[in-house]
Amino acid sequence: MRFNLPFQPSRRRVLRQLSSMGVWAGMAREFSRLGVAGLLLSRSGSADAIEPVTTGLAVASTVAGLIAAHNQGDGGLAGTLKATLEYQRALSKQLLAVQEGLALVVKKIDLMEARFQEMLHQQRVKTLQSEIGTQILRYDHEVTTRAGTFRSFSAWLKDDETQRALQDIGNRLESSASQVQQERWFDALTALYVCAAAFTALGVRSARGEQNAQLKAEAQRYLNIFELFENKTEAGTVAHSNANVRSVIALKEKEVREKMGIASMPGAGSQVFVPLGVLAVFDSTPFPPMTDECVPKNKECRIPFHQGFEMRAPLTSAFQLEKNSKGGSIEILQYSLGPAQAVPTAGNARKIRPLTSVRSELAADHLKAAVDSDYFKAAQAKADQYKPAVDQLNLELARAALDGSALVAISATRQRLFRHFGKGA
Amino acid sequence: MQRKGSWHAASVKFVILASLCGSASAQDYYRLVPTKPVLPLNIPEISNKASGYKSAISLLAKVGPWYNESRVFKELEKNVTRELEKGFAEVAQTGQRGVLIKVQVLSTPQEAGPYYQLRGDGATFVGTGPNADAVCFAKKCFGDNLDAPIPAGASLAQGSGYVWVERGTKGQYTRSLYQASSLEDRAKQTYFNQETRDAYMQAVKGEAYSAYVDNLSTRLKLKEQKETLAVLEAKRKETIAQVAKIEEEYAKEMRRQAQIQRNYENLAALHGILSTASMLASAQNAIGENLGDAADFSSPEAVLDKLKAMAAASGAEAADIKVRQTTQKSAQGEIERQTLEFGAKFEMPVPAPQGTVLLPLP
Repeated sequence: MRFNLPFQPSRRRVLRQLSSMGVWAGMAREFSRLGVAGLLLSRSGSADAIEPVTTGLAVASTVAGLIAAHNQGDGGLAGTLKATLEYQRALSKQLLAVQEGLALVVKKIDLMEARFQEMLHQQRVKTLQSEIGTQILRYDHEVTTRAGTFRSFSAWLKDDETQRALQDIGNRLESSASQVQQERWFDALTALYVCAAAFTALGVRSARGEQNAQLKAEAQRYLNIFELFENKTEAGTVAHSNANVRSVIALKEKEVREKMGIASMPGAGSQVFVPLGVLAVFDSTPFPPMTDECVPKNKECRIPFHQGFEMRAPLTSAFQLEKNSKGGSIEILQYSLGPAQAVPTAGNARKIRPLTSVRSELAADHLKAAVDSDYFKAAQAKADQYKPAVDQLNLELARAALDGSALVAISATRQRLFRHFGKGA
Repeated sequence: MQRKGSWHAASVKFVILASLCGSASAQDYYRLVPTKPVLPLNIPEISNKASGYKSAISLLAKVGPWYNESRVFKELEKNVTRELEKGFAEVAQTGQRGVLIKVQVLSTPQEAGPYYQLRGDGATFVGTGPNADAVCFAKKCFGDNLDAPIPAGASLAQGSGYVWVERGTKGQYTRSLYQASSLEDRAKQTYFNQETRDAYMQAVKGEAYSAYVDNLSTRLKLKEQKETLAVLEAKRKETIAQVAKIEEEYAKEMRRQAQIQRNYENLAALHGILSTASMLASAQNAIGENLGDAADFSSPEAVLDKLKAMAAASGAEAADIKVRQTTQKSAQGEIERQTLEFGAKFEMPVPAPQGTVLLPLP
């Protein structure tokens, strides 16, 4: 299969390989202009207006990676006194970066088609962005802006307004966490918000002067919620989705293979050709190239010249690199079906049907005749009909990456919670 | 490919299961707040203070209708007093705080009204210790090892239960009655969870030995004798601290192992979906460890193989930690044995192997 590649081809390398194939230069240019995700637009006519769903998912995956990376090392936070403004600000800075990433995800979802918005629980995500995202911003405002107006950290902490604001933030986070549990929102995007909420809640409660036992209980609340996300047996959880991803993708791949009539999917960085039929060009030039058998006869001797063409479309796979503004990135396998091609065949093509004709001794004109034919246009239309199945497969691949990344984020957050309380491995 | 992933997952699971053998429940290793902390001590049904322990029977009169049966009452009073005397003789030697006895009266319905009789002697000495729960736990009182058979048609009468009598600092005695089920259920719940059992057994023994050593020290006259005891006690406390420290190490390793396992399964599902670089970054982020030089990972399989190897190594490490802990526990047992041997030279009693707070039943 495609998994045993000894190297990871860059997109540029893939493009170079494609370009080197000559006749596919047009497709490669299109690939380059739009990127893989650009080719996956479900409404190709309005590429500027609609966000490719796979890009949205990939961006969300990079945010998950950001959460995980922040939580992998805590920047020495656990080693410092937690009840300091420095700690609060360092924590807030990380949370703010996550919040910016999540806000971008919301924007991308807003640009998608309605059916994809529904699939990504747009309304749910907006609710969480409003509740948890807003509290992260409020927390950041408290510790970075407002605390700076006080003479000391303790003066800020003792201020009635500070305590009221922190209590309100804490209450709202608690309410959101409860809502996630009650509504059983255990999808990947919700997981990212809950990861962010866990440390916001701890930061707020620690600033309010809660003791270790209470902070542990609060952290345990989030550990318990994480377990719900990781329940493989409950449909709708990110873990359930992850556990079933291989069979879902295998099914989608089978659909694509059967529809296109190909034996196997291309491995990463390679391509297979989807057969679209054959076509012959009849060269009716008055003075065709003559062969030895014509020489004894007269110049009227005409040898009908048939050039066969195989019509096909390249199905390419490559790891698409998606980056976020904070330096996080993820590479997800995506397929793209290029435009139909006409490739000369060797051997006798006299019996090939359908047939189109041309008057030219030039091979390029033969190719042009083939490509300009209605038969080739029909082949292109056939290829276009395959694209939704490829899009669907890409969507599942991107969704799988997001689910997996969300589980990584949960895992990293859990570890950091343990480290926070001196129980790190 | 999928089959191979499943095989990977199965083999890692095997490693983890192997290292969990002997542990009834490891759930608390993955929590900040334990699900099954050692349960709080029971509160007695009734309790009073008196200048002596011999009238403890009066407590039972408040809850048991069989009090009015003078034959039963007198027999029970005699037996309760005898068992308490036995217990306080032990208390005087071992330095424990109080005595627990089990009191059982049977009732058989008859036309003329219930017929009361004692179950066995009616009063059974359970043990001495720091509190009723500790003694009940050390003896595994939830079993039937204390009880005579119940004749056909009879059942336990109301008021049957446990009597705990402890001596206060000013010579007063506090006498308490516990429902049988309250002490036995708590002991059972604690006993059948290995983590709470181990933790509580350590706590019970720790408190009991402290009382024993305090009492023994009052009998020692010579400086060398006191020094010998002080050394033994210091060693005992050191091994207890070591056992607790190793337990935390073990918990950390178990958490790490679970984390690796969980992420192995997650990433195995993404095999072929993420590039090798993304798989490696995800694995590192997920388990919070550097898996090595990126150049060493030429394929997603290499990342998965590394995780698999780490899970196996973690399983082996956890097993090693457990061995170290067992060694420390053995050392603790040896020091406790030496302390008891030392105490025997000064006429301190040797605890019975049937289950005491100094030597709880396993």
